Amino acid sequence: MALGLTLTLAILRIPNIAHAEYVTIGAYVSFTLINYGGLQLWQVIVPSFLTGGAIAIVSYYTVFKPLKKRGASMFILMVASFALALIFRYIIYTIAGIGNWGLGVKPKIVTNAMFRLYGVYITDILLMALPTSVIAMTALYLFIMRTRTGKQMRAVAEDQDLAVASGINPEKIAVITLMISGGLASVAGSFWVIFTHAHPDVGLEALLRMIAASALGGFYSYPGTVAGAIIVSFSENTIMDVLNRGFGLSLALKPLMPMAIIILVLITRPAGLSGIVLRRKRTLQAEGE
Amino acid sequence: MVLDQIISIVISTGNFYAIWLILTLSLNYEYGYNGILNFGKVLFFGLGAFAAGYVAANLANLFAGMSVDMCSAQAVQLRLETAKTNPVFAVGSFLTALAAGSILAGLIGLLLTSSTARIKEGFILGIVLLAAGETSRIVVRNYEPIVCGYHGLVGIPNPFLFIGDAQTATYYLSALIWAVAAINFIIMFKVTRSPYGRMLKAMRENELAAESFGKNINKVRRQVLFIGSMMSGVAGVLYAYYIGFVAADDFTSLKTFDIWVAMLLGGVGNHVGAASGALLVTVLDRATRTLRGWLATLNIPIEMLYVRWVIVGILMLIVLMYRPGGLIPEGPIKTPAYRLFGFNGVRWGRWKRS
Repeated sequence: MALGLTLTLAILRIPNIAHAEYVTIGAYVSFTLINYGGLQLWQVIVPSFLTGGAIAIVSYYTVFKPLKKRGASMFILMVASFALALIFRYIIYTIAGIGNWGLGVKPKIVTNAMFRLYGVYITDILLMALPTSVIAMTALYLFIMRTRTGKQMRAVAEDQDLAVASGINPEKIAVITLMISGGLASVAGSFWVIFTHAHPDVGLEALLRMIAASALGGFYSYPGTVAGAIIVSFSENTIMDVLNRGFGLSLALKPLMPMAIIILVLITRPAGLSGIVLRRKRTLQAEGE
Repeated sequence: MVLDQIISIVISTGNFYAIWLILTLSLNYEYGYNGILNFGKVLFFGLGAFAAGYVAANLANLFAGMSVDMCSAQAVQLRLETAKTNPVFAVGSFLTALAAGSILAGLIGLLLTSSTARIKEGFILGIVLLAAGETSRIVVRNYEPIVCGYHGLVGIPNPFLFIGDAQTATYYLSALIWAVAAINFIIMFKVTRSPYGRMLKAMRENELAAESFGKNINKVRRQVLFIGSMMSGVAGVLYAYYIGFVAADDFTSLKTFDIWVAMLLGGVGNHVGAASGALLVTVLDRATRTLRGWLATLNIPIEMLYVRWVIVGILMLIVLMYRPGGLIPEGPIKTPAYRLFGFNGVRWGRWKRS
């Protein structure tokens, strides 16, 4: 999920808070299709990717592009995306609130324990979610690093004016970036809804974790974000468990973990993990010279 | 009967408006005049309210010479009874809360700005403040001794309860809230019209230029955030005493956004604008609440509380796109020279290309 946030921020220079709502939308798409359409989970991936991507593109054309044209600063884009997030979230709230059919309900899906591994049940859902996310990450990485379009995307991220001057169409890049980031967030949401429940606040709960992962990765770095996401989820579950058993900290404080990470990282090392790597590279270079 | 209802509606709307006014003014002081992206407004607002709850609960025990669990119904009774009979407790707890809330909020603001002084990008400071706001909310929600954790602290006594019945006490408190808001407005007006205010604007426009004229940017930023946070803390204390109830979940980051909407709608860098924006938001809030009850009687299953946020979001986008300066944009500074010669100042209403 955090990958999309970094992508939009790095390539389009939009700190997109509405990104969290694409997660919610994905969650609801999969919830509706599974419960009312009778589909299987793997059949849901494509529609939720398309919906999320389409909504991301629509939000770009209706809000971000006109604002950018008027020369809005990054902060204004952020406020606008916050407003957009509110609109999405509360439209979902309104629809889901009619007759209370969709507030905090679980999708009808059977979780089968496949086998036990060191006392942990491995379910078939987990067996599907894990490879999907790994495949998605690798595919995205290869797409950005190896293909022509990926190269163009990186060029736009480096310097937009220069990229335009060398004949890259920024509009095309923007659409592709948003399609990917919105779609991925949506797919992530449709998986996540299995583990929690469908609620309009699903995205909001994820938002601070995404920001934390992105901040750990230094906001603009792609591999840094992957590492950041792993660290955030690990620290939230494992370290919190250790603190709970060892020091008697309440598990209710779990949401604090990403917050603490954000504050600590931004105060001590605003460039995040990638900043550390960069600095080491630079010192190595300096020593080499 | 109807008249009474109208009066109570007017008074409650007015009080909420006054509290919003203080918050919006302080945000306008921070962002509109000095360009600090404070996304953690609710942190300072909440700190004031939590301090109020904590002080009221503990002083009641102290004055009564008892140690009742402050979350129990007995403690609520005790607080209200003590406030009725003991003016020293009623006024004293209010004043202590006011001092504690504002100073606590101010100090936390100071701490956060000094620790983030190295960060040049404004929006990173904003995110730190946002995260800090959520952190404080979660801590207070899960840590019972502050304001009873998840359930919230009920029965913060009105400081004028010893004068008469609840109605009269509410009138007095409303007058007090309004007086505080008015004093705030006047002080802000005077400060921002002074040379100090012009320095703040200079910093907002160009930090490097301001620094080259010998202004200490970090120091001024600390001062501004200290004052702004103190104001929000005062608003929080007033809010807690007016509502008579503090719960951590009242202070989500949505409240921060509400304050931002009020300021951006009304006018950035303009106190009259900010005041009118706060009025708009309060009226919208009250109107949707009234409409909600109305729809509920008609059995229409649309939750107005949700629709309200959709309206706020759309309003926000429209203002950002078509009137970036707000409804009443910032005008040129009217110095004596301006009055004499009447030249056109540079307007800040349009976003500059960066």
